[in-house]
Amino acid sequence: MVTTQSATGGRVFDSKALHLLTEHIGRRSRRSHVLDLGPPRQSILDFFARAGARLHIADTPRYLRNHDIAFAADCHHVPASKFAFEELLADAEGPYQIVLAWDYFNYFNRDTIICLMSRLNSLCSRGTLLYFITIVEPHMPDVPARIELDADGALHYQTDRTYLRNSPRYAPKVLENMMPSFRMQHMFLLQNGLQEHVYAFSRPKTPPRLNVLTETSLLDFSTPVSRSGARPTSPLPR
Amino acid sequence: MWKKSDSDEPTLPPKASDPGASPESAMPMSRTPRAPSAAELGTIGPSITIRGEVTGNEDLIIRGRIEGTVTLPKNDVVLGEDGHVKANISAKKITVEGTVQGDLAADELVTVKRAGSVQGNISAARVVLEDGCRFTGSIDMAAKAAPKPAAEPSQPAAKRPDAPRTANVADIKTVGETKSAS
Repeated sequence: MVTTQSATGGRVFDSKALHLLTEHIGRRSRRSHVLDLGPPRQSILDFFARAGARLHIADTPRYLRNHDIAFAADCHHVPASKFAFEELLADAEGPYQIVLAWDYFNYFNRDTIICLMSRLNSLCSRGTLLYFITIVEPHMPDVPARIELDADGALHYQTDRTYLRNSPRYAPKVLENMMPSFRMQHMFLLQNGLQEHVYAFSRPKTPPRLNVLTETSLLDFSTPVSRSGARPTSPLPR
Repeated sequence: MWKKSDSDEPTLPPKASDPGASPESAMPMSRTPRAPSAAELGTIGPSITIRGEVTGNEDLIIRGRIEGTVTLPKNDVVLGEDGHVKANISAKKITVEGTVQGDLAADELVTVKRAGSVQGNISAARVVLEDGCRFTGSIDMAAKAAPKPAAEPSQPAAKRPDAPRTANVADIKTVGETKSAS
């Protein structure tokens, strides 16, 4: 049983990675296109509009929720996720110069990340930057954080810690294996067990084989740890 | 406290003709540009469905269904909560409280309200996404909004002999009144 001191928490970080992303946009002579896998957020739209980029919002959490596809909590939905990313990003018109995956990889198992990366192969070009956050603590909130950005690049990371689950704590080597088309460029240690990552797309490579038929190879972090002992009804934020 | 009218009616930006809207509204008409009157505010009621092109020179509230295009480059368009649009909309300001499947282009402002749902691309000088709104697509706040060509659903229809005729706002109001009278 894991107990937390507060049910909800919000933290503000000076995000070095976001500064890198805006510099990346500023260096380009042509307009940058940013793919945001998160829900529509005014502050994120304003941040990248100020930088001069065009933002494409995919709203992955809502899509998965509408299709009854859980995050990593339910590994049996992995085959559906391959189809899901094709449909989710059907309207996306690449190539994108930046892809924002926020903290979703912590909630995706290996096969789901491979499926997403396989779809991104056709939406990225050489030099496309992939931004994401990993959690290095053994436990993490049961749902992804609500993330907002300030004009000066401060990242507001708001979590609901009522329910916790085991964190996958992907090592850099594991991440690179799951996304062979990308290479790590920068990693920044934030406070409170968070790490920012910036990966760069090099060239499309054949994704690794899925483990979906090998039950023992599936990551087992399907049982959330809750303060009350009750499992939350939905693993996705509303 | 909310008045009933506040909750039932979609909100348009205050007009110069509204009492107390601005100091200019009290000035003699000869000294101010002609303000739109109530007759210049078109409404497409909830029971009305339009397939084709909607054009005009007055603000428009959409509470019904439209498939095709909506082009009001000098006016505001409000899509009410019960409105469904499968069309590209081009206007000065666009406010979405209902459901849109299509591209939105506004010279000044596009607002997607909390209850609003947009699947398409937005191009405007300023875009406001209220918390909780549904949106998937691209947002471009730099490019100047330009009227889009007719939406794809309406193009094949226009070539068919039985294609619905082009309607303007005045036509729409007439159709609505006829329907409700019968």
